[in-house]
Amino acid sequence: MIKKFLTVCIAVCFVSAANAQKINIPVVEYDLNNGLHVILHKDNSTPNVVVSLMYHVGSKDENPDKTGFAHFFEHLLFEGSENIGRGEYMKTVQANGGELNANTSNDRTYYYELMPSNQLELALWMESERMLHAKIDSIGIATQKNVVIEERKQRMDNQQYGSFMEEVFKRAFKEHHYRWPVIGDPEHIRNATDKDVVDFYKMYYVPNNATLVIAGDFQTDNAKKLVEKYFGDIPRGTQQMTRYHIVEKPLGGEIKDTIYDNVTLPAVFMGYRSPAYGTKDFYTLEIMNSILSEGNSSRFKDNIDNKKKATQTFLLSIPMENPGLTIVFGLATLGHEVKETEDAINHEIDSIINYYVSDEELQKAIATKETEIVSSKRSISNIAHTLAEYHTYFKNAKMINNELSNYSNITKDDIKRVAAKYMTQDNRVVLYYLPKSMKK
Amino acid sequence: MKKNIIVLITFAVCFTFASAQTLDRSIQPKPAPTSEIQIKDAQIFTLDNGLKVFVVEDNKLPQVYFSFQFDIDTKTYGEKAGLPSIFSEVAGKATGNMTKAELNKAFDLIGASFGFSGKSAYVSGLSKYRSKMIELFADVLLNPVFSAEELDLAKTQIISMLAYIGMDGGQMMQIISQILRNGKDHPEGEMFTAESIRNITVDDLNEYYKTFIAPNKTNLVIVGNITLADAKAEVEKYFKNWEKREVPEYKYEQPKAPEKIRVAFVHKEGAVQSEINVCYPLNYEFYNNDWFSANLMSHILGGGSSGRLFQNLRETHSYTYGCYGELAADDVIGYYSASASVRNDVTDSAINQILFEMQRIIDTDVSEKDLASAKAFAMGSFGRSLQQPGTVAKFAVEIDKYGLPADYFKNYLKMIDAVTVEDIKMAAQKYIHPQNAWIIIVGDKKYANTLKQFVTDGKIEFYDMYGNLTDEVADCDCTIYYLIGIVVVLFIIFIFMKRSAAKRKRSIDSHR
Repeated sequence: MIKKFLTVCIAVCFVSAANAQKINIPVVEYDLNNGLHVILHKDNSTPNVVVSLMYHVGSKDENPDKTGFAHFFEHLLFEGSENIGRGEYMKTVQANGGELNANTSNDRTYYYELMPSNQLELALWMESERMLHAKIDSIGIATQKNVVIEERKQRMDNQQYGSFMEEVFKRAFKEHHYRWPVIGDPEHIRNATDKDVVDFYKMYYVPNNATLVIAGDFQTDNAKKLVEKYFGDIPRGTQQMTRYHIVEKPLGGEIKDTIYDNVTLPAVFMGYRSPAYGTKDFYTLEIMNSILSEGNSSRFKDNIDNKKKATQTFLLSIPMENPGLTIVFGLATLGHEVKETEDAINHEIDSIINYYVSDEELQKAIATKETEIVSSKRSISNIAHTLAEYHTYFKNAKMINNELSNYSNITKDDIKRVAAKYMTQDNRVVLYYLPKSMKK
Repeated sequence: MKKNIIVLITFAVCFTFASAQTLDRSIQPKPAPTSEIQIKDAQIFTLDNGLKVFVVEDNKLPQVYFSFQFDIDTKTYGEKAGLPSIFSEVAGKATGNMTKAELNKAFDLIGASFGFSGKSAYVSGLSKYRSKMIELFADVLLNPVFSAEELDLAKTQIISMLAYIGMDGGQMMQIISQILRNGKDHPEGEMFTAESIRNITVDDLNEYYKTFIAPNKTNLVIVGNITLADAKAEVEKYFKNWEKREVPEYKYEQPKAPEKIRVAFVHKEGAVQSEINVCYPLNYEFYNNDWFSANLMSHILGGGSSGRLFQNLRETHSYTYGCYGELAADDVIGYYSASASVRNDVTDSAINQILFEMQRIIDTDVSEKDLASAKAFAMGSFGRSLQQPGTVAKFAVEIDKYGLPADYFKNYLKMIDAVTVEDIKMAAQKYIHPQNAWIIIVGDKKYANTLKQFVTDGKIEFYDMYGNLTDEVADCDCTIYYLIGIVVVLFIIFIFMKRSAAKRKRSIDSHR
């Protein structure tokens, strides 16, 4: 009996070993004395290298009277430094064959340079300049205020449904700083003073609040030497960083609202209060989402889109450091009521709460995840970003080599349980977007 | 022992020296020696039916993709405009052997994705499922079933999307630019409407498939975790019996740029920004004689965040979040386009700056520094593109398609490096034409009056997004009449109320 059990066990192990095509991302990690966390991922297959820095500061760290600051600040950090003149930052990178950009979320700010590998030292110098002594003058501040306000218009005000994140989040959160958008209130940005800028920089842009990633073509010893050379003498931050630890109370009942906007097709957005990124429940929700809306044979596609009850639907749990939202979207079909779309979505959600998903559906969702996980290892810039986030949020960059195990143990019971826990009516905001012409 | 001591002392000296030396941060680091870029060769073979196959083995990830590129000449479809789009939407939904549900489930169970878009189709997934995915996809490609039900669904979705686009400034701009640049009689300027979509039938789809999808007009690119031998075996197994057939070709007269600037305005209700596009059609083909100088010139003018357009409109004037230019090569007709989304009240100023930068690159030599910087960026981008194994396959396809020398891409960096300041100027004179451009604006018509300065006869053309002239009048005219009206009314009040001169003046001022 025991022997038989073992054989089965070995057979199972063998099958899974042959089945999961595991990719190993080699990672070297260490801290500098000033607290800067360094992650190296070596891949010499092409002569390219990524240098990136993630600062653990996002819009949730902002003062409620100074929203949009983390993102505004990201713009300012392209202005220059003690040794890089105004406007030279972007030009220098491109003049040396590289690309650069940055982005800000509710939880963190990320800067990166994609360089030919012989320019590794240049990229490290530039990022160290940014961390040690960025130089921001009043012309830069005035210019970037306007640029950010135009960015807001382009991304949110002038896009159909472009304001949905802002509108859903502000209703779903009453206390937590997720209640305002990353881009912030234009009024707050206009009012930002030079002192605000300096204070923010001194508090959060310190080595002990940052993760440096180098990914691509380099020699480890040389990379370590260069990191020490440019970052080793940057002083550790001594100020206590302002953090808001706000636990949002349960929503306590459905919130319904209608927004009349410059849109042609009515749409419905739902935001369900959801667990934080990295929790078992979060990963389980992702599998549930996949069964509902990923792939051509998913339930939304089959029962809603293909039945003309919507032009388009999607479902997404947003990966956020604190508990966030799962967003459901349905764009009505021309000439049909959005209520029809909403009812169809509700029907699918009810059924995933009340009935088990099939084995086949679970198998499809895992297969889809496996493909996604493999594809996400194609580019070194994507790998660098993932490593930086895993360290910033979970202090565990090596999670990158175990991503599939987050999903492979999920059972049908788990899915039913999380659906019943989070996808309830009391736990959601429902927003209609209707054309202005429908306003009575 | 003695030796050891010396080593220790040396070490200590070095150590002290290293820590005493402070880093001079004002010195920009010099690049390390360049690593050589290795470009692999793709393997090529052709089946008897003319299907040409390009294989690139890349074992970094356990993935493989098959991409079919159909060489279909663009043509106009008249009252059935949009047929290729509907075809892409309906193709791959069902086969003679499998229903839609069975097919979708089979692909989803192996986590593979597939699709059709315009003139191509693809399937990709994990290499352990390679045989299954190519078997399924061969069925999709060779035994398609176009049903009335799927056609109807595709029509509903495309017509709904059209309605959606009608409120999206960026997408409206794409459509109207394509129409005005190329003209409605040219395939590139023919835009489908809800009506033309409704005219398409199942027979049209079958006819389209039979006419255009043929092995002798298809390149198949296979990239990833697969050997040449395996690729050959799979392709022979599934595509050997695909029958070759003659595919018709179409030629059209080239669209022409306007003889002088024309201003076209598409009104969008409630627009908080103006979408601007300065554009014109160009005879600009892939890998032509001045390919390298033209691309570098275009990069200096409007490429990325160090381009002159971005630096001027965003960093100097803060009119916009971004402004970029594009010199686009095309097998049918290329174009130049410079575009930005700007705040309403600087619509005319932003256009002036775009035209200024276009003129400047024609009139004035670029600096050696700007050229060196553009070259470095182009070389860096080339190196980065090699991270995708598909790039090598693309090189092989293009060498074949455009009859380039076999070592063309191996010499790519050298050819970038050879471009001179004089070459840039010649390319600018040849391809940049600010005085023969369409200036297209999608925005609130309130701001249209400020644009009269760009046209000699002061005529602004108003269009809907489908390129039909509308009879709107710029609000400017109305505003002027309105202001005159106020003045007249005030004057009458003045006469009849016989108020004092001082008081009158204040009242006029307060109305300004």
